[in-house]
Amino acid sequence: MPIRIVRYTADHVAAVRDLNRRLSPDEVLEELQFPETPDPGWLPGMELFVALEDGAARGGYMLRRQEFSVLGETVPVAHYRQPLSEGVIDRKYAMLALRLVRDALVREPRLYALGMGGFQNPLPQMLKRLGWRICAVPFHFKVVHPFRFLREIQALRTTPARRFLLDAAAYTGAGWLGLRLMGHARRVRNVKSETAARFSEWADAVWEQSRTGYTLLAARNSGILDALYPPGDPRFLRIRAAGGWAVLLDTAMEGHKQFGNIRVGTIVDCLAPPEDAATVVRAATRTLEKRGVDLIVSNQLHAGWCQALAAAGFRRGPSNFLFAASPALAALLEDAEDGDLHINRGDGDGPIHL
Amino acid sequence: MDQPIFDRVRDIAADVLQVDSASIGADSSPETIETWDSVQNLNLVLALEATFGFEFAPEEMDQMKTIGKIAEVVAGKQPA
Repeated sequence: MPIRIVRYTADHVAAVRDLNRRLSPDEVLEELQFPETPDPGWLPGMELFVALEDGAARGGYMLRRQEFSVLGETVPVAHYRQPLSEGVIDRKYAMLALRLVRDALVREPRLYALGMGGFQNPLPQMLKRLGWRICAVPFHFKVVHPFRFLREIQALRTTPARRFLLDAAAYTGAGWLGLRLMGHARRVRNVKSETAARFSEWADAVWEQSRTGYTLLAARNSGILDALYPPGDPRFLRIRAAGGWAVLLDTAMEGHKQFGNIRVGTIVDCLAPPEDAATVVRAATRTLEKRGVDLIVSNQLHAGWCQALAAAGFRRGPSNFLFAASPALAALLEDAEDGDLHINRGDGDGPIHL
Repeated sequence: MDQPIFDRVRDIAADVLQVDSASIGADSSPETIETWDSVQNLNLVLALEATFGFEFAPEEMDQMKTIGKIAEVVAGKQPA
């Protein structure tokens, strides 16, 4: 039987459940699970598709239709999310990954993908071969409490020798001094800011004032932002400063594979005219510092936001968070540098895990 | 089977999959060639499309499970 790619309906749920079991039979691996409902209810504009062979699901993908501002013009774009193929466990279906992306391109030629776990993974490799424009979204971090950072950061404490050195740096104060000399642990100047319970007209004004300052950015009006960061969800902190805003998370990690047990602050999303980025970043950083986080992280692609983070004492680390634009979307960005594009964790992830 | 087309497909597959073309037969598939994973499969499809100057339709890609089947699909797309 040929494989058909169709819109996911309630009739396909049992087949998708079987696919998930085949893909990760012993332990449930989130990246190898397709939603077991055709209406996961995450974000507006979501469409789900499944690849069916004689009633069996062999894969699937999601599209999230969005509006982007490209050079100030509103353009329909879709986020190509979570493509999954039985080809990862059965080479008989090796062709399916290509079919899925080509099927998505027929439905919306202007696609983007985000995250993907790094350049070494099959999906970004495939997209690169298909002519997609791909770049890493820089990862920025600032250590606020060096002692706790050095004692807990699991990503660096990988060997007994490293653990000994990091403990020595923590207990002698050498780590604090070193991080301070690198610009970390320096508190930023206080900046006038306020928290907001939700996005409303003021956010619409920021959107209108900011959109022409960026070559590409996803629409961020109040309706979209309240859907991404629901007012009823206490995890999201919305701050307003200068001509912009930022959405922050303050998360106490517990046995996290990279962060251990530290408190991680995240600048998830932000918007302002580029000239106001520095003030917004300072306000966001100050807010998280005052709340007592040990480490602040942010993924930001636009050069203005990268510079603002550097000025607030952030440093860059390796990033496995990628942005990929399909050839049709990339064609609109022909003259743009990566640093002209405003992409961060707020694009596509929605209510993220951190 | 169109032997000249089969030979060309086999040579392209050998080049992409980094195996000796003599080891590739009509029944060779991702299940019998260790290096034929999803990334190399993509490279093979793109190499075939670039060489022969067309794009495979979804239903054709469904049929392309062995080198012999791929050669049949390619032969079927050649102008008469």
